[in-house]
Amino acid sequence: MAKYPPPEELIKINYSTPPTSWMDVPPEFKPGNFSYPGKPDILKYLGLPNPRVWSPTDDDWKLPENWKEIITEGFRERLEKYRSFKIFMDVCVRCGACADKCHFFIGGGDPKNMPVLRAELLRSIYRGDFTMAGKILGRLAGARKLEIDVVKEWFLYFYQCTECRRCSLFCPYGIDTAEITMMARELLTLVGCNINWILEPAANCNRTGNHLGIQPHAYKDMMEFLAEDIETVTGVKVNPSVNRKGAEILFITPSGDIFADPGIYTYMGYMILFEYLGIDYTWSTYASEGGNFGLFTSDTMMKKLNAKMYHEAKRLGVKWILGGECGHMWRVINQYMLTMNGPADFLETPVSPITGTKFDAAAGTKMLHITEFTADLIKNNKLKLDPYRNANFKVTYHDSCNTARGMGLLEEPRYVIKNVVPEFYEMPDNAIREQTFCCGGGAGLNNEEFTETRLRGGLPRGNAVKYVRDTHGVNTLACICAIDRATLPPLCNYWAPGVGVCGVHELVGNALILDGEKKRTMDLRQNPLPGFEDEEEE
Amino acid sequence: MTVSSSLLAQKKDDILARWFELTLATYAPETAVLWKKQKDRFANPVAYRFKTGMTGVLDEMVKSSETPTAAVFEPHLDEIVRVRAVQDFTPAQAVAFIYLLKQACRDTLWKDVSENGRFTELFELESRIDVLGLICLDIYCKCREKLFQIRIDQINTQYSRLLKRAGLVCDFAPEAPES
Amino acid sequence: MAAFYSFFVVLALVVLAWAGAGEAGWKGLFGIYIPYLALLVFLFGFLSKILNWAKTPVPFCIPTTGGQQKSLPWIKNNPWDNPYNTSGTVIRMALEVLTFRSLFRNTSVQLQQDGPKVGYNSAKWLWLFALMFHYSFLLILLRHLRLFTNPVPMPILKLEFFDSILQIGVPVLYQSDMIFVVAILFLFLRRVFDGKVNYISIMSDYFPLFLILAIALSGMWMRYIAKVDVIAVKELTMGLVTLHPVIPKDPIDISFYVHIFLVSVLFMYFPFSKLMHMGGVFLSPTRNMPNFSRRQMWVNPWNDPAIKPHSYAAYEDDFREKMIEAGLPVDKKA
Repeated sequence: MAKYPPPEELIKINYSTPPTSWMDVPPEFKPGNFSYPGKPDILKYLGLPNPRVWSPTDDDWKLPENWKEIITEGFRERLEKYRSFKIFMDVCVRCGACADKCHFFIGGGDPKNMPVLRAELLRSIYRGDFTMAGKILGRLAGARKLEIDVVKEWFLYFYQCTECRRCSLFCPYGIDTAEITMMARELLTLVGCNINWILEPAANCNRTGNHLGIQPHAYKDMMEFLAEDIETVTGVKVNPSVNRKGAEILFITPSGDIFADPGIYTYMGYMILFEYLGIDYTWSTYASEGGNFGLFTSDTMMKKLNAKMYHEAKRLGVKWILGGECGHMWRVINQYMLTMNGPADFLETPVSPITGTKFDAAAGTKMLHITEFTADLIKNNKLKLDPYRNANFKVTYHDSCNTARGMGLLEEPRYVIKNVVPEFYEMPDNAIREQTFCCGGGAGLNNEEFTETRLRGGLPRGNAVKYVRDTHGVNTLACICAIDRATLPPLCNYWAPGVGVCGVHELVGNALILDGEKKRTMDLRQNPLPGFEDEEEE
Repeated sequence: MTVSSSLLAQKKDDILARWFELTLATYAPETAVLWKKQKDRFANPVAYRFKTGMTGVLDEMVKSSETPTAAVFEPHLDEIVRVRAVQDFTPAQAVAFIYLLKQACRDTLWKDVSENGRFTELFELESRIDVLGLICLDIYCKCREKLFQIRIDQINTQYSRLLKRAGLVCDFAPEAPES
Repeated sequence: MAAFYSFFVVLALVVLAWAGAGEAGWKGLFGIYIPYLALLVFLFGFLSKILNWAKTPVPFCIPTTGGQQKSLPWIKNNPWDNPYNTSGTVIRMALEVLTFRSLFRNTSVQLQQDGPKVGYNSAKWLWLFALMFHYSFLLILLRHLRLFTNPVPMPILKLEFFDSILQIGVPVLYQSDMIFVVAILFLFLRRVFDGKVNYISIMSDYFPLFLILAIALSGMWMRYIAKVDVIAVKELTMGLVTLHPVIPKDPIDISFYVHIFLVSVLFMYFPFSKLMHMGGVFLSPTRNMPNFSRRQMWVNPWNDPAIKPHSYAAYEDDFREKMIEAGLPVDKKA
């Protein structure tokens, strides 16, 4: 066989990564694969160590002089505080079952995004510092020394993990990368390496009650603005109360929903529902944030921010708390809140004022999820609904990682959706419920500078959405998470153009027939409703 | 069926397999192994999109020997380029996979071409692949533009309503409907 | 590289025992002292590791939920994947430990371009061979009890009977031996040839595999090829159990000493290695806790009550005037 000339356009590019051991591959920071570091003022406000101006692309990260000592001590302390951490450091057999479960690995292919390897980044240091075999055998036992590159590597890859816990589901020992990532981020925070998109919202939340730093008067103003929009659409004026003492129920939802598209429509949905029911409830500007970016920083921060909920409930003298649609907020409420800030003995177990149902599932925290509340209303026929007002939406549902794998809230939102829309289609089995794929923006990675990597990680989700779009004509992705509502629109825009994103209670708001409402000709987004147009407009 | 497409048609499946293999070889070896093995289209969307796109391209190439047009080929090439546009590649690396089709064709067809002197057909085929390269470039740029647009939109949706409420921007349109 | 090192280490161990118990004639050392030492190291190491884990607090209730929570009475709860009480959790753990349920979870419906068809799914193979490996290991371990009990209990005899029910060869072949070796080989080959697993593997992944393989092979060599004097072996093992250790007068083939030495090494290595997953799996907080932290309080022993929120009073001080202006109720007038 004659030899053909080498295709010249090929030889100049080196395509493949040489098969080097992962320990020898240094981390590489490029625009789009990391998030901007925390600003010094914010660190100072939060009382976090080593505030300074720096960038991950710098050679010198200006770590404190004794950074090694700080990290090793921090490591030891956390091993003593968390059984999970200790066990997850010890028992991994590297079977590889988790390897292809991470959305960042599936979409991007960087080996260090395999959950097992992400954990090994930490485990290799654990072996070197805390196990006999590692101390004696070194690299042979999978140990390595704590170098500056290790810290850089941690910063890169532990801020490329969304703590979605999908890997944990498939691990035979339940090793949870979210837990490992939390520990690593705490260690990084000890030496001043953290990201601004987490810390600034945390600081805002502490001072103003919400991530955005919206001051109380502005919050109320925004509510009135949305109430006007509701009046435009429905002809009914809603009268939400704010910071009112003696109400029966305190309602808390993520602040992202009060000003950002498409969250505001979900927010309007809540207001319409509560107006319809006429329940005795109040919003709070002090506790105007359901989300908790402390979860992505440290247990102390998480506790401090979460404590506002009970603090406010106590001050207002409410009986119980109702929580809005949010992902990680519910992980915190379900798995951390009572432990950190309980017992909530000044509150009562939630009882629906409309149906009388007592929600034993929330007997401890006294905090109920809005879809549990609404599902119960629908089941008891307490809502007058016209699903055909949502006929222009063909809906599928995205399970948030946190409510799916950190709570198990799977059926409630589906039940609500199926009752308020005429057409609902599920995505394939291995992309929903407990196996749901992350939106790519969890754990504080929903920042603009990280978009490229996030879209890469969003491929598995986007691919499943595209499938239902192509096979069933789905044009709407419903979700119960404010981060999703911010992350999924760009994700769909890139991977499955033509699919919009909405909250479950936006759909409820559309379908709900209010007393004394005018004929609806448009939905909450003020788009015309097909089949409901005014005649003169036709 | 005209000349160069008939050349292609002979060994379409082999070329497809080779092209896929060469393209996956542009990733880290442990990644490539995984992407080759996992067949579930939802668990392994990258390989699925590549396969779908590549099959589409080759089918269209066989159908006609005309100069490729964006209208026909863009949907297929988009499956691949859209993924590579966000995968940490330089622009050249991201679209280079199309030239790997040339190599796949030469690898697979060379025997037949050299023995039967079908060089004209091969050249014609390769010229058509060059056009595909240009289409890929367009798609790549569209994807990147979209990426930047998404980043801008993200900032806009985050702050526009606040600015509006703060009265810092004025709004002439009577409540423009959102989409 | 890691695989080669591990292989040579195991080879060295074999040679050591071979030379030590054979040429050098240190039968007492290899037959009595090292096994006793190994047992002590194992017991002490295993227990201290478990105790160390057990005394480390579990501050938060963090099960990974794999199904529908128990909430409203008319929504069906998935009690095994998302247990809300102890009995559900026990079942979840039992399924996990006895059937490797999480590994099995990988069997997802395989939809493909050209219609549904069953594809190759590596993780399902992993589940199958892991299960084969662990169960045959357990069976072999139990069978060995006949060497440490007198009279041999009925269940052990039954077990032996069924394990050799195919009646192949003399002495009859145990099926568990075959399955065991096949499973080890699969797990090993997977580590070598599966790119991603190979990339993450380190020496402590290969070493136990080689060690266990060597133990299996030396055991089979004893039984099927060297045909060691079982009466003499039992004399020695019973001596160990009754704490009156003797080296029997009838000579035992050297392969026995190799076998028992490798087993001793495994016992000593066990507590310091990933093999501790045997104990760890029972203590993993994402699996062994019910999802009930919204129903009742889970107490964190190191919870710090000094951590307080930024108080409402401080918040109001910050924004009082603006709040009054906006018509929001305030606790303290300006």
